[in-house]
Amino acid sequence: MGQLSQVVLDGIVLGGFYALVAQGLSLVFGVMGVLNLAHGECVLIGAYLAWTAQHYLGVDPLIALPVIMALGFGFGWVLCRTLVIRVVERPPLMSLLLTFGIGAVAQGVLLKLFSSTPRVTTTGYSADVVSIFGLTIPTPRAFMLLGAVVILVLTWALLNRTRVGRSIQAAAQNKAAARVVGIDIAAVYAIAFGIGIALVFAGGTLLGSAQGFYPFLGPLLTMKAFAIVVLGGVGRMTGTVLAAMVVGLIETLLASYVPSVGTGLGIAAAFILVVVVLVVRPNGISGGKQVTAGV
Amino acid sequence: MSSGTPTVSTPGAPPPQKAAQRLSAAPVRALAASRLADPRLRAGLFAAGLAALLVTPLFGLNNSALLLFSTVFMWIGLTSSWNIISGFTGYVDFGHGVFFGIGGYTAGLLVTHLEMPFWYTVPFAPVFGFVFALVVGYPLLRLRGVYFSIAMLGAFMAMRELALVFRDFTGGSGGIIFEAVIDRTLFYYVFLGVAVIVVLGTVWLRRSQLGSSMLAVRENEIGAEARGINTTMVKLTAFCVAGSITALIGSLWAYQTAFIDPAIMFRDVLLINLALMVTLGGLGTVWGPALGATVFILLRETLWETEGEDFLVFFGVALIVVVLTLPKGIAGSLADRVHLARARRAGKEESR
Repeated sequence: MGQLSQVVLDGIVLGGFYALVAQGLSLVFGVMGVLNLAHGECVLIGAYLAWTAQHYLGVDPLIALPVIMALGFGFGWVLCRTLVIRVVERPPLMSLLLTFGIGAVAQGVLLKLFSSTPRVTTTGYSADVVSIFGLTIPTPRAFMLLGAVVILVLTWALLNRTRVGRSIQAAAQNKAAARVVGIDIAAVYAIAFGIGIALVFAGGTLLGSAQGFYPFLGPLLTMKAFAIVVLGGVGRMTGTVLAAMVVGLIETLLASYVPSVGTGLGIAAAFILVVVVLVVRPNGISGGKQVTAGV
Repeated sequence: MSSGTPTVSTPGAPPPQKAAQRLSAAPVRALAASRLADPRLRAGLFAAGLAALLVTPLFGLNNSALLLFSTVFMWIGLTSSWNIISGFTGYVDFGHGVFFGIGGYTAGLLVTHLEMPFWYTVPFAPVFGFVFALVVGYPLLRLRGVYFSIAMLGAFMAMRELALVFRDFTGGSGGIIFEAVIDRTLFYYVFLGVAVIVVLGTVWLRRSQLGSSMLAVRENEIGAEARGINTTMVKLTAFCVAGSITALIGSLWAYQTAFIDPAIMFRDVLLINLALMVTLGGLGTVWGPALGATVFILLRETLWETEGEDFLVFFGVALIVVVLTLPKGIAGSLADRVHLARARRAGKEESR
């Protein structure tokens, strides 16, 4: 026990957050083939919304969470209907450039509104800790893990147990066949994009009370989410969760055991891992074909 | 024994002689309409422009004008080399700034650790860029589409992180200071030379067998493979050439700026600018990147003095607008117009 198990627990908590964020990216990529380079900025928009709610209205982030998720769905839906839909079935460069542009705008606006000073959403339980089996987690981080698990389970249920979810999966598997059976693909895209953004807004809300955030964090989050999606295999929820845990663990292990430089190596480690995995297993850790959206 | 092919003349058909005249008239007129299609004229224009640029500094330009010109030349070099991998082979490199940073740091580290004079380090920058491209490109160029793009973005961010983290070796966020050389005319000619070589190299490449193979990889990689093209080799060549040119430019820019740190050598804006300029000019065209770089830099210098967050918003919006309205860029759209006009004219000739 002792230090190592504490580090592993921290890694799992971080992995839970990553799983939530990466699932949003994976869903959009799996269904639309659009890799959203503004993904990390969307996490931050969620975090700043929660911070604003707490700071100006005194609403606890966990209470604001459903509202923020609804806003995220609306934001994603509008973004998809107005901009993203125009590049969906075009060469991938177009969607990369477009979402890159959206990310730059979002970063600029966040900088203007909130400056580059790191923020933390302070709540009544910010300083509390939860202890289990002699290990401790700060309460906000415990809520982050719990929230991520609940939302991921709900997402799984939505994708597999509802009509809308099955339309999304159908669109991911075979667009032509989905059209033939009467699925409105454009509507499915907008819904999938909305769900994806709702997930990352939720991730941002939960992250905001657990650690500091600032506008330049966006690209780092996008990169980690992408690394996880590649490691897990696109559109495979179990793979994504597994890969998120691996990345979270590597990050906390590096930070604890590599003296002085470990905390700054998150992206480098994730990237090297991606390259190695892509060389060894081009379809991700869990293998298999990259077809489905949610399972 | 056949008595030769009998000349079949249907009553309605025009006499053969007239038809031949008509056939030959169509291309001549099309050519006259787009005089730029004449290779001799193009070469002449290019030589005249180059001569003008060569003598320009002799007429006593001030330093800021010289800097503006050398910035344009630098970006022409960067965009044209990026175009080789992203435009010709279709493997869009979203982290190309990594080579710029590698070039700058190669020079900086050699100068500080081995106390080499800067100009001795110049050949090393492209060599290190080449080696990095080889090592990273071999596994990553097997990835299709967006996977490659984002993996390169990852490489870019990872290298920036490493440059920040290994303080003792790279100077970390404190950076490296060069002995300042304030000779704008020198850098004017240096960057002009680089730009001319890269652009002429692109012109040559586009006509060569290798260039055709790159386009074949872009259009249909499996088909190209089936036709006997060694696609791995073609992709790696494009990537290594683009990477080493960018590294060279990075080292020269570092020397001109006299100071480097991870935040400026590996800056995100470089990636946005590259993508925006080339998309504006025309991805995958020969002259598009140079055109896009020139238009973009001149617009930016004359119209906007933006920095920081306004800059990000402005460029983001510009990128979105360009993608949605000019997906083929200026050069691509112009080429379409010329083709369309030619087709129309040919159509009229036909129906007359």
